[in-house]
Amino acid sequence: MIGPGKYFVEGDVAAAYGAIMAGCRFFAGYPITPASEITQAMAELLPKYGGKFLQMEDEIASISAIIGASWAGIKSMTATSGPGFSLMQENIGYAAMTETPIVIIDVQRAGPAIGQATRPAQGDVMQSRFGSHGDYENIVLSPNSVQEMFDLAVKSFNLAERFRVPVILLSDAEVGHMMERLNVPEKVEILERKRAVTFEETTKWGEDLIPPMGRFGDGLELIVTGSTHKPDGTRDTGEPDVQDQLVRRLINKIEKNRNLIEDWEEIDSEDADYLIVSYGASSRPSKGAFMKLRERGLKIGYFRPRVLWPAPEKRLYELSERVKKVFLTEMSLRGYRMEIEKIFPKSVIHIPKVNGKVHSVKEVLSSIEVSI
Amino acid sequence: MIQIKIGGWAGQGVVLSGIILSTAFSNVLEKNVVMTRSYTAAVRSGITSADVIVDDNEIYDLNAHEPDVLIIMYQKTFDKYIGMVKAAKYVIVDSTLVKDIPSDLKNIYSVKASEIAENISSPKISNMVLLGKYVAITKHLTIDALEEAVKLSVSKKFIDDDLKALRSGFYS
Repeated sequence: MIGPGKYFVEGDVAAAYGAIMAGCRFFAGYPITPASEITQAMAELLPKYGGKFLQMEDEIASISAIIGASWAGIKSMTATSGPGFSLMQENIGYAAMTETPIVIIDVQRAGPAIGQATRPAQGDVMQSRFGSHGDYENIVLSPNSVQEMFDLAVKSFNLAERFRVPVILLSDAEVGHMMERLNVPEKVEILERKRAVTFEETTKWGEDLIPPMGRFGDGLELIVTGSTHKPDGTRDTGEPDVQDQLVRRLINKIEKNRNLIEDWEEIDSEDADYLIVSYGASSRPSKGAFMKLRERGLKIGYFRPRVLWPAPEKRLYELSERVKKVFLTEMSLRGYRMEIEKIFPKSVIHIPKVNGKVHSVKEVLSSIEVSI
Repeated sequence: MIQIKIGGWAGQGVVLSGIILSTAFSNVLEKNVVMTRSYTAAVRSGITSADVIVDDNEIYDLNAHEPDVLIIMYQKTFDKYIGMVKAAKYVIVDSTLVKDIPSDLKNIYSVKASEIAENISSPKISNMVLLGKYVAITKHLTIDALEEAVKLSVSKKFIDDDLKALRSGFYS
């Protein structure tokens, strides 16, 4: 059992601890480097907490199983990496369409395809938002330490439950396999989904646009379908208004609540002419470089989204009015670049690293020094 | 800050050495510690390394780019890291397996780790001999702190032999 106190563990294990503390009681998965340790930890822990662990035949079955378990009222999760994450894309859309709270941990590795399984990368940033077809929104979080693997795993469940969306904890092989101190608190803040007691309740929503969720087995005669459906769940694959209203609500329940979801770390940006933007493992050396440049008197700020999607757009647009140059450090040639270039169209200096290694502080420093 | 890099060949217990060292610094000495690893997938061979970064402050570099200490278990790893070897303060090597060492290097501390380990039970515990030697040379940790970390990190049936190997390295 996970008691409060100090641990010295891998990021993957910390994420499993966080999931358990958040109330996750069902895990279905297929092991894959560098996410296997999450699967292993869940297999060891869940039976002790009265939960269920299932090793599935593949990743499509894994995500299908957790969607089903979530409808049975159980907080559910899977964990994977690149190739498995690609296989899960269709059902990420299914979870978005059926408004099923689930958590998927993607521990990114160097790709495309099989790539280098043990090496970190951040090439799944766009896929984590746009990977499934059609219009939908989900939530994507990015941890940069073992402690945040725990904290953001808890937060992932809370966001999934609150907004009834698939939430992706987008880690990377460096953070997943790294060992650091983890402080497990006595208690964590837990949010539960709004549960419908009557069928009628499942068909209506308030200002937050999120209808209460029914549960299989309660006799509510629920209809859950990936086809376009009316508020009562019945299929309607022809009526334009039904499609329009459903899709707009799926987008708007995130869009209109983004101030409740967006989350970032920001240091010394008030007077900044320059800004370093980074996330995940690469944000660690980026912060080191930022500290050194500040010491030297350069007016530079540090900005790290903890939630990548929805992006902290409002704050970044505010900063764009003052900042002359933005340094985006990441382990991808694409990564978060389109988003940051959208907000800072002509001032982004991209500092990618794609050899399966995290930047060093020195590398970030020298890349910045040549551009200012 | 202390940067330590342990380098060897897959199967030599490189990552476990990293876990033991970092556990000692974190749990016993209450330092900030990051331990990262590098190994190749699927094929069970190749150069494997574990990096341990120790600091009183926040840790920004996640890998040992300029290690103060290298612990080297295999000739190919020694050759690959020769640049770092020259720059490091202490280089602890298993001289049973690393034989080709330039004679002008003054920072090399050799111990016949695999041979000593084999005499105890198996060459598999050569990593423990090297960790013992590391503590004796650098004094970054006490042997007691390292012993405690071994007890926290390995399964019970190996503890006795591991501790014997650790002490053999320490007193070698």
